[in-house]
Amino acid sequence: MNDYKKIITSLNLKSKPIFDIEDHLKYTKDWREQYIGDAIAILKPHDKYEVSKILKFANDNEISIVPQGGNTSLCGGATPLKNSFSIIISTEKMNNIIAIDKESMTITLEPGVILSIIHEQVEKNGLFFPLSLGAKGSCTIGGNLSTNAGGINVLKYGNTRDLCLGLEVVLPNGDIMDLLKILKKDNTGYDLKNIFIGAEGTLGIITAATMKLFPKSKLSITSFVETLSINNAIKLLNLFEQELKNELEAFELMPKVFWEVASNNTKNLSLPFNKMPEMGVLLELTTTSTNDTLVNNEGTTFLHEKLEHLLSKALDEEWIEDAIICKNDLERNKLWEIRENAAENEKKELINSHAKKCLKHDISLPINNIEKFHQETQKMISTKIKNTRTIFFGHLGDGNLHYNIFGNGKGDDGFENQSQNITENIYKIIEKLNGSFSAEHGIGQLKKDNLRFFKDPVAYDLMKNIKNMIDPKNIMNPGKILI
Amino acid sequence: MKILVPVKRVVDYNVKVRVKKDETDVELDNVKMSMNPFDEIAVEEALRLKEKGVASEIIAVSIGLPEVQETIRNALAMGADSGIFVNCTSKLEPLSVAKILTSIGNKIKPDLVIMGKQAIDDDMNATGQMLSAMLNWGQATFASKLEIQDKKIKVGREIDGGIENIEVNLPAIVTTDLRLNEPRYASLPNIMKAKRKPIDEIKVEDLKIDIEPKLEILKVEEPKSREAGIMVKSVDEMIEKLKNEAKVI
Repeated sequence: MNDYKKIITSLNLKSKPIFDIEDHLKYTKDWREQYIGDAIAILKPHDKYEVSKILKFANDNEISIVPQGGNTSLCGGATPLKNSFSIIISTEKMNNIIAIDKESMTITLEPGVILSIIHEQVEKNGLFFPLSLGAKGSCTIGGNLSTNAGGINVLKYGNTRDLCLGLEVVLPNGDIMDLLKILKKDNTGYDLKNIFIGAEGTLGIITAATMKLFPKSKLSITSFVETLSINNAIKLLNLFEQELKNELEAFELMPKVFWEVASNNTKNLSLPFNKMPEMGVLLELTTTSTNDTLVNNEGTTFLHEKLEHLLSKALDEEWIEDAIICKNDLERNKLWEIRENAAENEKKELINSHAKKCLKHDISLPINNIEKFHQETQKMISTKIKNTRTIFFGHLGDGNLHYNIFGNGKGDDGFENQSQNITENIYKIIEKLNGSFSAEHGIGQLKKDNLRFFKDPVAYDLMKNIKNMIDPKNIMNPGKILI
Repeated sequence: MKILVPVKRVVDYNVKVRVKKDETDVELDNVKMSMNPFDEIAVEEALRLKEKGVASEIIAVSIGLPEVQETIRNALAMGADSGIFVNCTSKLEPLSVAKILTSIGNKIKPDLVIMGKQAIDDDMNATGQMLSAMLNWGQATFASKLEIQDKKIKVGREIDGGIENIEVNLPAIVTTDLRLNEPRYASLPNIMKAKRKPIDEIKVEDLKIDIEPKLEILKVEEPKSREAGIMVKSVDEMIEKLKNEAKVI
């Protein structure tokens, strides 16, 4: 052990290694506090050469490497295993924006840049970076890429993979692979960068990336709508996708139970209606066309008029009960804050409740199967255990739901020892309805057993072969994704 | 009781305002515009008085280019009954606005004018007070509480270190402070209803008022950016820096 300390120190990194176990907790515990792992050192490389040096050393000595960005994984993806001989590589010192290219509308940056900092800097240049999620104040672009993060703007712009044009990756043997291109077209053999996106740090470490930027919208309108059922919300979604596909930027489901949790854990929560909305939808339209922003003779912009027209139609058809349209960004920000605080509020709710555990599921389904999934799942749970509570919400536009169940507090797991059984059954229902048990949070250590069970066996074997070929000594984030 | 609520179209509070390159004004192209938040509070307060049965009619007025009709529509969507759009292409300063509002006030004879204490674009905080002088009505500025009892209004005013309670005879001018209320959202049915509410257009020329600017803007510039903070290693170092660099102790 002490030998390694000496060698690690002799790597002569700009930032001193952290060996003291007491200082490790910030890095060795995951955000949900489900996992606490062990590390021999936390290293904070400043550039790709330092990353390369560390990986070569680790590979030669068969020491595990756990790459970590903002440590906001919801699946324990950035937490080392217990009793493991691991080095955590925190990318926090690699936080430079290398270039913002206004003409090609790209940003090239290091992996440790925090998402909200990207938003700020890009905005200053009059452009827009669409990736956005609740953890934006802490999560980093390296983590976003490694988990192919989704978030609230996937509907219009796609997930992180769709936003990435090029990568620079350090391979486990220390080789630096330069795939940093700003090209929209580049058919030169296998698309290697896509293997590293969503790999959760099991194949190498991303040391730089080039991402797409977009023009800043000239007008955005936010509306909150109440419907009575998921199916009615879907009808509304279809209407918007048919009529305003290019303008529809977000379509978030926020049912009554979601608002109850928000109101239990927020001081002076302002409700859009006089009561809790039954099945709420938060939707946002944006436009980059100046024409849409012009105020007509009636004192309305064209985009407002389109929105009002569609909502009125939905009201006539009785798909929706009521709606508000935000008059200003103060109202908009209040509603989005409630949506973005979902995970935080749920964490507080769990602490204040008698439930010991919350079973979190990040699932995606063909949109037309969502209502069916919800009904079948509630029925299945009720046959196994009484007095649970399901808090669900999510990106309805993407068919992606966060489906989280609070137990009744009984048994060791708070679910009368049936938590695993319940999750497995939920995943079976999802499989039957052609969905996926992991939509945007990734696999990490939480869902690797499920992956083995549900992934197509040929695909799973190919994934293993790729892993063995790139990382034959299995030093990169072992125990994640694959068993 | 009739209430007149002047509403101003301003750059949305959330927009990071930038100075134009020629330093004559701030950048307004492709910038989100909204109703001045203090004016929105004024509309809300008027609506509450109507809901209590104290007021019977609420009229929203805005002055400027045709776009300000959007701001009037927002007031109507919140629940105001009708609007007045004063079509005016010249730049306006508080004195001109107060003159125009005086003219409107004399014409429609409201019992109460509720308006924002200031607009968040120029932060002048002057129009309400000027209007009060011109109409020769009482004024209650910076209201954070408002009650009406037989031809009198009781207002809690925000002052340094507390609330001052005053009583003013009607008709009067009230200017609103932030804590008076939280404005309501505009619901779709009310937005659609608002489209059928009348907006009267008045040309500013027809009012025959001198709105020639009395103030001249020489230059608009960004405030100095604040320097980043530094970390000190010890209390002694901090004291040393506060004494010798910042010179505050």
